[in-house]
Amino acid sequence: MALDAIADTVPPWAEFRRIGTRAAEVDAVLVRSSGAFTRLFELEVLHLAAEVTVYERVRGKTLPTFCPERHINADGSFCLGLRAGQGINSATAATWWTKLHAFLLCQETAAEAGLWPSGAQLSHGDAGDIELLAEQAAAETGASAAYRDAVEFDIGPIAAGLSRINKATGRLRNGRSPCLCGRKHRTGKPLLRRECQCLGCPIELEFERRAAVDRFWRSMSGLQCCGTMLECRLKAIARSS
Amino acid sequence: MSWNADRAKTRIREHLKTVPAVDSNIALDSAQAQTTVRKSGLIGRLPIRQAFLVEGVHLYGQLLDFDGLVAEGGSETEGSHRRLLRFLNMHYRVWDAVVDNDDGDRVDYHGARLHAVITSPAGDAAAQITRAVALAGKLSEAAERLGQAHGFPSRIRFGIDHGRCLAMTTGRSHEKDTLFLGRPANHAAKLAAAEDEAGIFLTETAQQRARPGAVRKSAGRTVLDETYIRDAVGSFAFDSLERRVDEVAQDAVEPIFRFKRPELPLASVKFADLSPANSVRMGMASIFADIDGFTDFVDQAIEGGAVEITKAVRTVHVIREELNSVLNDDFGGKRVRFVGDCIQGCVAEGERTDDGPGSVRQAVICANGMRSSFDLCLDAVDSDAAIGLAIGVEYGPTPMTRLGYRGDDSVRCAASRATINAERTQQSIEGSGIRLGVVAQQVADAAVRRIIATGRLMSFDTASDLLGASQSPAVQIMRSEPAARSHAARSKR
Ligand SMILES: [Zn+2]
Ligand SMILES: [Zn+2]
Ligand SMILES: [Zn+2]
Repeated sequence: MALDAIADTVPPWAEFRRIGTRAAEVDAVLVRSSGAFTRLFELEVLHLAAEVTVYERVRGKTLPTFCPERHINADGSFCLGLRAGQGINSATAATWWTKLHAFLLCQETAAEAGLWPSGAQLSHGDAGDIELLAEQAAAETGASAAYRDAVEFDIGPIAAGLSRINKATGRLRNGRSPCLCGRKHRTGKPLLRRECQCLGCPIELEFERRAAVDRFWRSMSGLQCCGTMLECRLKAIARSS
Repeated sequence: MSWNADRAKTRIREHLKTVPAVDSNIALDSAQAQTTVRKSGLIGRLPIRQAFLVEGVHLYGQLLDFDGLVAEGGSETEGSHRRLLRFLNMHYRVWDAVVDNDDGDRVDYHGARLHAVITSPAGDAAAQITRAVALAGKLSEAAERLGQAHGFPSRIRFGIDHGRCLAMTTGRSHEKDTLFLGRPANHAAKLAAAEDEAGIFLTETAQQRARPGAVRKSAGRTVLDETYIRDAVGSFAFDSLERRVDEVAQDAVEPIFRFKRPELPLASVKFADLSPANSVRMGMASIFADIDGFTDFVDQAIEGGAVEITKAVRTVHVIREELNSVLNDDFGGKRVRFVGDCIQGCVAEGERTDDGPGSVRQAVICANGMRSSFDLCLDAVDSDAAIGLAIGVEYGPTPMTRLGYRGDDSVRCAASRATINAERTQQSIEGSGIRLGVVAQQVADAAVRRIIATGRLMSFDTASDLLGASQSPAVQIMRSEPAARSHAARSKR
């Protein structure tokens, strides 16, 4: 049972109280870089269907009730990581706590700065899976740092390569030229763009990721921005409509 | 090393033990304090750990051609820095002569700026202003002579104000500084820095207190009367100054500046070990931190009497010492000087070669650590003062050395385009916050630029999360468990 596994692995920064077979309360205070404490987070953990979800016990007490940029879903549940609430057992429960730990720390930073830390999030919605694929591809071509730059700051060679993509096909133009991601054959000869396609080119995957992010935000339209983050596409949507 | 909340709190408790003493009669009768001040001569020789009210003239002189000497053909080289330091050294040697005279004019300098405080004749503002004008006139003449003798441009712009300032001295041996806090010091400095026109300028207050006929209208603005200036210059001797100018003008032997790369951290560099022949130089991030709103706070305190003054002294002392501790102890940086309520310092990264992005990042994290300490200081002194922290950061090759005549009192100096622009960048901030100079902006990595774009100083904790600093627990988790990256699910509606 997922909640039993979670109960067995409570870290020192949390207090865990079982409420029933499918619910528990968690109070958490964490230590930040300087040794200072975070605020007290009063949470509720529910095991519904096959998934464990976490909410603020009193919604909106310390965190927004909804904010994609702060990784709080429309129903108030936290997204602690890709499929973080699924398949929790004695082997994975400790990791679930680690994810909650990071999530709460980042909330403090977001609350103060209106920014989520670099490298501490995965793209929204289906874009998250694409991002993981792209990271893998980038790692193979030795372009991991360039890929992060493209995702987080829209700079660097991979971001620049996006302008060479045919928007209709999602493919890099001029298939017979060497690929812009820099991937090479084992012989050291550069791989052609159309050869790179088959392996998953980080530039093309980045194009796909951005399209998926757009779809995510369109699916959110009509929902209200919480106003706590410096940049949020909901703000832009609210302004334009 | 990095910033730690408990360590900062402990330090602040220690700083509270060294707060300068304030005489309970301070606001009522500062005559006694004036006597002490007058006897002590040189600014740096004021008694340590005592605060005084000093009524007198504040004279600021700004070397206008300093900026132009920083670079050679647009870039800063060892050669251009050598020339810049020779230029400063020449002026400092002359300015030092003022220190040594018997009339108790006190002088201090910071970069291209001279600050003199004139308190004689006591109680006669108009006469003090005349003396300051005479001194400014002599220094202008001296600069011109030296410029001709040594081939340097030597234009100076002087700003003069009169009134009461709070004076206090802190630090030890080579790291000592005296501050004059309050309107007259501030206004005189601002007037000197306001424009690029050489000459002697009085603030409105000083104009009102000056001798009748000292100022006149010309083309819609108030200027000093030339006859008044000439008479003033003629009626004071400043013997030691004249002697020193002769000496420096004829002196063919100039110090040779030799640079070496300092061992890091920069905090381990001791000014006591530095001299022209033993100067250090490398790419550094210059930090200039100012307490926004402090002049008003001090002026209100001076109006408010001894209790308020004591509070202000406590506040500025604790903040200054703590900002220094953050720079030195937490981030391995080097304080160059305290200037009024400001601190000027440098941090550097890169053992063998300059690490520009690393130095700028370190400076930015340090600035945010300063912000965290600043908040703790205000808590500790239980202050509701309307003050904030404004920090400018600029990057570039920077030499550090000691200049002038004074032996133990010789002047600590770090002078480069980066030190100039860090201060200017700070001055461009409205209220509190942080800003990078043009070069630092270019050198900084994307994560640093992103947090700087907000213009805000954050807590150290938030800055370390956002900048991926290794001491951040959030960053540590992401490194060991990439699956902990938060992820917003698709809407289930
Ligand atoms: Zn929001
Ligand atoms: Zn490719
Ligand atoms: Zn999320």
